[in-house]
Amino acid sequence: MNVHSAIQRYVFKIHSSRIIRENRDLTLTINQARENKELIALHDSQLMRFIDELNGDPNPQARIFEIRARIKMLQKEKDISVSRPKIKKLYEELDKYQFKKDYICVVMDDEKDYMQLYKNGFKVNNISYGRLLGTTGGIKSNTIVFINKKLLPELKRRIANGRNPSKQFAPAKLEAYNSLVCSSSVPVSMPHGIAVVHDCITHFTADVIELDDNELEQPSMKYVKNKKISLNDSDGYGLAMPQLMERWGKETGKNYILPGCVIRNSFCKGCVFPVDFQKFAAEHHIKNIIDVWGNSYPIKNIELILTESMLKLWDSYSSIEDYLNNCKKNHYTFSITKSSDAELENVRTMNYQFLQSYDFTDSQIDELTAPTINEIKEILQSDYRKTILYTKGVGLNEKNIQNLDSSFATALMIEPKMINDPYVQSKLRSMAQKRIDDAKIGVLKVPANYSLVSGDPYSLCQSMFGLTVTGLLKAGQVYSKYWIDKGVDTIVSFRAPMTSHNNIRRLKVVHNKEMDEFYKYMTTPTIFNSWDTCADAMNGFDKDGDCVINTSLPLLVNNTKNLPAIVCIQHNAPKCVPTEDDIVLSNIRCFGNPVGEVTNKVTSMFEVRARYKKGSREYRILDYRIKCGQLYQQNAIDKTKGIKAKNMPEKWYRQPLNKANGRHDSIMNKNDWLNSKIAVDKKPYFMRYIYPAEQKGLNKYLKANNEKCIMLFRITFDELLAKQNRTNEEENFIQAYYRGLPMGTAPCTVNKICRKIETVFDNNFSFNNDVCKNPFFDYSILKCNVEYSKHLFNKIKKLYDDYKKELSQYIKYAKSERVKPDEYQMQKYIFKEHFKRKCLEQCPNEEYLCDIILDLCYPNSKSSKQFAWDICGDIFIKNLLKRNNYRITYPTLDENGDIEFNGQHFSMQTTQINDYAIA
Amino acid sequence: MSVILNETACAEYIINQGKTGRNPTSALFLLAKYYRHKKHMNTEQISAQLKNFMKLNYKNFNPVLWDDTIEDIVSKSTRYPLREIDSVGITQSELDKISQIPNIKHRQILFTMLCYAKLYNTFLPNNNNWVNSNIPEIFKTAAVSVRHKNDRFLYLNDIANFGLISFPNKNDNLNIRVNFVDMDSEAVMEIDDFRELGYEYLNYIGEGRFVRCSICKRLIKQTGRRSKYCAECRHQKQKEWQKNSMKKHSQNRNNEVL
Repeated sequence: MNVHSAIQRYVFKIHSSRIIRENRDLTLTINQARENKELIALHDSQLMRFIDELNGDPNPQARIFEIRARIKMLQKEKDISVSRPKIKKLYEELDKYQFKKDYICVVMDDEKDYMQLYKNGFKVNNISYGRLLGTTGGIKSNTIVFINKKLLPELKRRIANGRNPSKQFAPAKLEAYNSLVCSSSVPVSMPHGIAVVHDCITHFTADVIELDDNELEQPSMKYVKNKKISLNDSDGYGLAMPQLMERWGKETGKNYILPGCVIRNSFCKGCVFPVDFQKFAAEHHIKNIIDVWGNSYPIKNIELILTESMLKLWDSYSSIEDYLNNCKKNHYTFSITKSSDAELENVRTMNYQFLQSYDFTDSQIDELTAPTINEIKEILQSDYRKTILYTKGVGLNEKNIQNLDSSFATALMIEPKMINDPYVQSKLRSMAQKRIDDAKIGVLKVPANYSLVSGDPYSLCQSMFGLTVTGLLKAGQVYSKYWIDKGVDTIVSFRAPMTSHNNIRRLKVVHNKEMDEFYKYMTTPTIFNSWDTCADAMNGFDKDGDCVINTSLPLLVNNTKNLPAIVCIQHNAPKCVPTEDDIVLSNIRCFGNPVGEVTNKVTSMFEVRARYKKGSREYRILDYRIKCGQLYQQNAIDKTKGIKAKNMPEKWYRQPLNKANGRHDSIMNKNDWLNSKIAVDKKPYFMRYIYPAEQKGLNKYLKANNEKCIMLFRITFDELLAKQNRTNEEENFIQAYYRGLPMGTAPCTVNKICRKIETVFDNNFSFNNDVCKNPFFDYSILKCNVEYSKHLFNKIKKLYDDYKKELSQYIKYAKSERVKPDEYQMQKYIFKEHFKRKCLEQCPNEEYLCDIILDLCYPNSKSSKQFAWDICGDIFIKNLLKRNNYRITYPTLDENGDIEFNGQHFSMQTTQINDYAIA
Repeated sequence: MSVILNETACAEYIINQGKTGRNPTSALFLLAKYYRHKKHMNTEQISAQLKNFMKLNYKNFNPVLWDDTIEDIVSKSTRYPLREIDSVGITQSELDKISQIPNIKHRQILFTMLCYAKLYNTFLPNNNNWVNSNIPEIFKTAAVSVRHKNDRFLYLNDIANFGLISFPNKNDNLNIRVNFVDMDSEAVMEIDDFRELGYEYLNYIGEGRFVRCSICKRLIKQTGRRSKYCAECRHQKQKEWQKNSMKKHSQNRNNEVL
């Protein structure tokens, strides 16, 4: 999946408590914000484009590229007294275009803060800000978008896009529709002819498990045979003529017909797939299409079909012309947020959610973990060729090798001696350690791919042209060109978040001539049939950009049981004509992300269930509770929409409630005792590798337990466990140890995987590497060999010291606060850019800078080399290329090759780099 | 930060010297308690004082990154009063119990634990003679070094075998209870400095020669006739001497030039 992003823009992200502390009027420079970690990078979006346009700057992207090119040119200037002021000025100008002062994200620390800021607004650098909206992702982390009050009325008018304001909505839903303008996207051209059609609804019967928690303390679970099901097969997707997808492909830098892409427009969200629906109409002698408003259009004039589930507010407009006129008036364009790649990958990693419901034997665990263990062992061998394959993937070829980046793997392809570089060594070590830790939490390699979900477009065509819906696929079938080409007939499909085995589907991959012809442009999406409960089973997927992971691994295929789908009784959110106050209240309800909490509790239930025999009472109760997890996930989402929904009963996951109940009825006491036994009050053991706090807690417990053991018995705990003929006191100590463990260690599937990886790698983690024995590395191969002044050196040294201090502080903070990977990468990017700028402002010449930084970081083995690669990585690559006459040697697939990696053979090929430009 | 008996004096010392120490949050917490309970300042005033203190004495202080920490410290300062104890008294019966143990190192450790237990009993009436300081800190204060870190627990096991200390039932609870605390009898020894309890004991029983640092009054081992300062003060003094000699040297050079 390819996420489209254009330039990055910087905005302030400030905590509400800080604004309140400063009496809602604060002064903040960009540099201060960088230091305070109050600056974030955002991708371009419709909202950003609106703001640029209102500020009279319709094409900032071109200006940004131009300034960057001028900075690059100035880096070659030898006389730094000339280039220094110019670079400083250019960076100031760059800030003007990259930094969006009109847009501020505020993290609400308190509901009261939100109400105060919403009612009264606030000022930053003398600009007044007012609330605009909360994006779906932002609200989960309590973040609300505020906008310069001068632009606010116009932006609100544009976002409303002339919709009928008297329509009723659930406030949270309207906010989600409004926030579509914030999706990062790349604008594309207008299709020649658009029609909005009714969704394709199919009706069939299926066996399901029905969960209902209405008026009950604990949900009722019923197995219903032949339940009548209605399925919206086109939920969130539409169709595009192949020529439109080809055009959009070109506009987004792809030279193929996009196999599927996720689009945005005003109140429009969803996926479109390339299908020649004009040909379908001609084959069925149909000339016109009737849209949702009942208007008829010649099908030959239509290039894009939207469904009513894509155009959320279609009934707020009188016709497609009305909608498009409003879009034109308010300067909306179609845009693409992400698109399918031309080809799917061959290998993907599983995660613990997908694996936890399987019941694997020890030999099956060995089989499942073997490819991952081999991969890690190959990294540890430190063969530079395998390192390249691991970091760059197995798909390197003559064409894509021309696009070089400034990573250490590129350096290795140019100069194999780089394997001796201490920076490369430390990178390899951390890469291997991360891979081992990931494997411990079920991130295991399997032959699989990640693909967009589509309904059956044949069914949609039949439905939109008024024909009887039959579709081409039958219940239990899917169409996937990737698996057809591989000759695979059965796959297993997963979608996150998932809780129980009922969420996994085993599907038949089918095809025939008619399908191959009709779906020929949809080369990478997985096409689901219109006649079974896959969507319900896989936690209610829709087709607006949702993805599934499909695998053909026989171990998973043979062990997957097709269990009935779990269907939870749905509740509708109350509707009203939402006022601003209603929306703010709905934002507050959405703060935080309760779904993760429910999912974690269900994961813990798998661990507790593993303590009991299959079929025992405890096992069956926990099995029921695991199934109910899906209902409580649904309830957590419903709550954010303003629906009254129940939480998971506390006695399922909290011990003291059961113990402190104080009831004397003998039956109740028996129940309390059982509840207390199976309450999930601990996270499973493998989660120590996910949550640093759990890891710390467990390590502290183990250390204290060992020390206490020495204090009491004069032997370590391991020695006590190995001791024969233990005394009563010693036995009690061991039992108390198991009772007191802060994490669940029962042999559930993922704990078993974790233990397996621990056994293989813990205490055996070392590089089989000649380099470690001979650590000499001549860093002059990276140098430009110029002479610089001591004064300049000292200036950069000061920056280097600041860099080390700030980076270590941030890494410490990110670890303890479990900062999300996206946020972490973004802050590191801002941090790197900031120091690069500071360095260039002090020493604008790239050659001086390169040599100074090398002499700073490399002579001392303990100095961090990350700084050198962050600031001068591109110059190192340039110097290495120059030294090697612009030749690069890379591993490529070759049946007769001498390098074996991931079960495939590779050989090293050498090629000339024609036009060196760092990606 | 080691145990402080008189927090008021310590807070005043920190303010006068402008020392944040290795862990500024401990110093800030002490100052917050001082401003709240001694100077009767309100929350806003305390926050302002702490920020000002950090601005003056902490290199690269960024108020935005410290805001939440300071707010938290200030709010917690209401719950904890300032500690003002002049000394902890040790009774003859307690010293007699300690002297029952033949090994001097064991006695140093036991004396240290006794001092801690009596100190905690003074703060918390329900303490029941428990010591909840961490074990490496007890050994450091007792001036007992070990070859291997696990030896500390073997030492404690030895002492427990005399029945003078006991351990809690919970596996991961490493607190220690001193079984011979006497809070009622008259004290024969007063401890007003908790930095070198092992030396205090040795000095009292006349084992070895000790002097007090002429600057900070810390008890130090007398290694020669000129032993005057503890390591920390000696380091400070040396810095001062170096500074003065450099100053003198540059003055002399200037005079020569003139």
